[in-house]
Amino acid sequence: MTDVLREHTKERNSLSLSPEMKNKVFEVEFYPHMDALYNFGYRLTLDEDDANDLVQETYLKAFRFIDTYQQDTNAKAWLFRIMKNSFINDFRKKTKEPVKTDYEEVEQVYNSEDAHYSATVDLRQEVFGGILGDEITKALNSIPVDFRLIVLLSDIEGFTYEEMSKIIGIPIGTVRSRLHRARNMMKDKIKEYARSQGYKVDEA
Amino acid sequence: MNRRDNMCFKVVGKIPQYLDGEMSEFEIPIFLEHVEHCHKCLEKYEIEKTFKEAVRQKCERKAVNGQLVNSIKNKISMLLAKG
Repeated sequence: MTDVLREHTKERNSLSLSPEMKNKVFEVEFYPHMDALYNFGYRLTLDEDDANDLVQETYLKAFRFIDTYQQDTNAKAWLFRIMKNSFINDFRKKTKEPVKTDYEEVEQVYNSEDAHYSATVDLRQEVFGGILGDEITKALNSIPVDFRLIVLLSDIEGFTYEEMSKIIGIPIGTVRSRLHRARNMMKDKIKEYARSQGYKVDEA
Repeated sequence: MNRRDNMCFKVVGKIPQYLDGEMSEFEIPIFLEHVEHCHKCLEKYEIEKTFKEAVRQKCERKAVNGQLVNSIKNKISMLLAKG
């Protein structure tokens, strides 16, 4: 009925895909996400060559682990997870940032439970509406990579909390609080810029 | 804190959840009802919404270059050919 050719392997209970099926998975499910993966890789490494390497490594790993991928499930999240792990394992050493973010210090300044963190929340709407993409990009690049990562996944790529939880490997509650902190950090940066440009910035 | 402020406090705390599409179905009408009729919460909602939209739309998006695309596809093709 179908042209699916599956070979049973004796060592494993799961079925191995034929090269034809693998090629189809790559063409239909994996390659369409290359731009998004490159963008993600670039935002993480802030280096074009590193981003290229990261994308390539992600697809090679996707090939290596393709039998663990269930067809027509969430390919994007699966690939992003591979890239995030590659980044943590291989590339983080290269970046100029310290390997471990000082979460305690960050927590002191950005209390994740305080919805009324007034210094950052009360920016005028026109600041964000009129702000240049340049400043948003700069603000994003300036925050520590663990926070940048989560903003990328949420606001740029539109993953759900649950998907992010699986991609990063943290509980959903942590996704929420880290996202909250990351956004507050970005708003602070943008606020600094806005002030320097003469925008009126309210403090509650 | 009086009851009104308490409600506002809760609602403002839920704004990111709503904007991220993570709010449960039954909560949404309650949330929107308050936001639409409370100008302070509405303003905060609008700010958060604008910020999220700004990040999504205005953050520079990098696209992969053609050379890399071909290089990757060639490598995968070769690996597939090996069987």
